[in-house]
Amino acid sequence: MNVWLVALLRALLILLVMLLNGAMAIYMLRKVLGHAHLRLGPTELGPAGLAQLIADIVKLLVKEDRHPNRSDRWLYIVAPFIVFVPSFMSFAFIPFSDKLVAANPDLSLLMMLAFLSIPPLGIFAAGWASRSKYATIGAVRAVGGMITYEIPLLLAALPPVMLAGSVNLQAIVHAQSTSIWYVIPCLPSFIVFLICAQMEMGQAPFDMIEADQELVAGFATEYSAMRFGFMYLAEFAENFVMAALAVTLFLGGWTLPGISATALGPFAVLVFVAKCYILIFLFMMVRGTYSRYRVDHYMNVGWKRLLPLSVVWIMVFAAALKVIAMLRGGA
Amino acid sequence: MLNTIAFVVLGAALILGAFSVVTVRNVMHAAYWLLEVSVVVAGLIYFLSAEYVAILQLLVYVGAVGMLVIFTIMLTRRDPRDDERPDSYSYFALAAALLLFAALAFSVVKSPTLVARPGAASTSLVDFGLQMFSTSGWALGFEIASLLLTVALIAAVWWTKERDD
Repeated sequence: MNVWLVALLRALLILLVMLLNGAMAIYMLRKVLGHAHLRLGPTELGPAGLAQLIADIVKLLVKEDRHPNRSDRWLYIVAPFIVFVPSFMSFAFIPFSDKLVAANPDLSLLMMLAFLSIPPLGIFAAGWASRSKYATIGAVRAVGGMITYEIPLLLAALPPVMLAGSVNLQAIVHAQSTSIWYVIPCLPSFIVFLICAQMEMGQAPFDMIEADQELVAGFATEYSAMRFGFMYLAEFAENFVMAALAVTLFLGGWTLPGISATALGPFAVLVFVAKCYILIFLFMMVRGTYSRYRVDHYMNVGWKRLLPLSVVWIMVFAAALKVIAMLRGGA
Repeated sequence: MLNTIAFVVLGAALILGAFSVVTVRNVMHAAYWLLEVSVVVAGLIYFLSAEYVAILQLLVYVGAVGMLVIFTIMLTRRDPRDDERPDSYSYFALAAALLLFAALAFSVVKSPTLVARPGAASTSLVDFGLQMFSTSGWALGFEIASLLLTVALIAAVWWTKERDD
């Protein structure tokens, strides 16, 4: 029975982290976007508008849960969970520190990416089941977007794997602590990864699936109350997961250069979380700075720029690795 | 213990999903039940200690093939009322299904019983890669398959290109 208890506790802990991250992200989004637009964001409730958060959450919890009359009832109810559950599961593989990781299988990076490929199906289900034109257009764009960015995203994650010789996230972090952060040798991959992450999260400049001015709220237009909350919680969770992946693959994970893991001790978690939120801040600044792409431009960027770039870069990178290995072997 | 529970739960989910795929009248619902079946199969493979195959099942069947099925339905349905499948049965299809079931059941019963080896190491990704890409392994087959896919891809592009005639 001990195994079950440990598993349950781990799951609850991940849920807690996910909820805290959601709360943090809502507040951060309001403040960062506010200041980016020369506004102040929330100021009235509590110190620095912090209690606005509670008001937001209470509003989500007590609103009426309504169903559009002509909606596809069954899919409408299931859709938020298809978005939420895989996002929740991908949290389990994030290495917060040397020991603090909920699940550490050998193939953790691949598993995380596999789970991350499921939420767009839920987004499509939500939009399709709503039977409203805004939601349907948002859903169609979500599917089109997913097949556009998924392949460059996977390819961008490959060079760190080649360098570390492992698809285990913890092993990739350890490999970086003995050499350099992989952002230096893999800079093009890092940039492609960040762009694809922005696409995966559906944030401006790539927020076609919920383009406010054209589609009201896209796939989520007809949702209210906690169903809406679930989908947004999953979206914020995805922000964190993408930032955590970028930190783990390219920015040394929970390590700092020149400081050993034992010296870092419990502060490793803080280092990791701080790095993640710096990246999330970057994502939000991009979101507040650039205007939305047109849908066809978005497809062009994905298929005609990012995909060939990543394929060519992978080949160049692999060849360079082999040449360096041969030179070292010969010398 | 854990494996047995997982097998019972996943097996029940698999049977429920498989039945729903063929009995549900709404085509979009059937597509989502098919996705559920793919996820459950990935789970079953995972509990057989073939993690890599389970991940491929998720990435390829749920992420890619599932998306393709949904894409096809999305592009061919114009009206929500079209979603309902016609309520007709064919005895020929029933006979074909029964025949397939008999063949599968026969082969399952006749095949030697698999014996679980506790503690046997699962194949690592490195072993898998070496087997796949070494000349003594499957490298030739892999290259032929990728060549075939490239030909299909180019043909598809040529086929869909607008022509003047």
